[in-house]
Amino acid sequence: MSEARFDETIHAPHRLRICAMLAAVDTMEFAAIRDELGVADSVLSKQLKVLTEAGYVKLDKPLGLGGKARTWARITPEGKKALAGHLAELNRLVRLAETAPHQS
Amino acid sequence: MEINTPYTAHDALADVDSAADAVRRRGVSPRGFYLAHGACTATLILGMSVLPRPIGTAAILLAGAALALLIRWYREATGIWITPASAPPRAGAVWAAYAVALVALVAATAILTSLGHAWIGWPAAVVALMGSVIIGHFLEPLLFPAPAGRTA
Repeated sequence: MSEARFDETIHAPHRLRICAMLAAVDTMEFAAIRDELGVADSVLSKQLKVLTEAGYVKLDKPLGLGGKARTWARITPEGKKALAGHLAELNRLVRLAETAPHQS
Repeated sequence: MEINTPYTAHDALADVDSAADAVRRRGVSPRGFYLAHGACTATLILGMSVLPRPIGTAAILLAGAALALLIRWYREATGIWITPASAPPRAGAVWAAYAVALVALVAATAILTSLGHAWIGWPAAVVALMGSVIIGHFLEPLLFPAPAGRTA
């Protein structure tokens, strides 16, 4: 089990969802991620750049049929570890909130 | 007036679960994918057993090329790719069992054909076709891990 650690880079809503999707697959295409998030290409590019610079995501642009390149993203082992630690911390916070006495 | 609401840990975990569900929905293979896969493996087996040499060789090459195109079809249709390394262990076990069974079927067919029992290619091809469809039916639900938000 990963050490619980809040990760500011991953916690941004779009980046968290990107990491959660990539953690479930080997690779995911740029357009598929964009469609699932419901954002513009520029927004997704910006979020992927942050994750790439953090070393959490790797981008690949293989040539497809007709020589057209498509961007595929994969989460790195560092990204998986950071996501697991972040999720562990989120779960800890939720449990903490559930057990804390309610204020009126 | 813009109102900023905090992104709580509870919200974040719900987002993680919905993202995992979205990938699971997206990962459903295109209609007829496993049938096409079965047809390729069946053609491969027929090519090495009952079909006469030049046609059989062409059938084997055609089936190999079609299997490569199947990978492309899945990737283009779903926008994702999954390997045994990224799938949960149970899916990897089903994958491995299928691969071993297919190799055994091909090897047995090749041996029996070389001993003069080429007719074995017909039932073997049917087994390969049905095997792909049945394995695909059971494999697909196992391909994706449980939503991570609730289980981390």
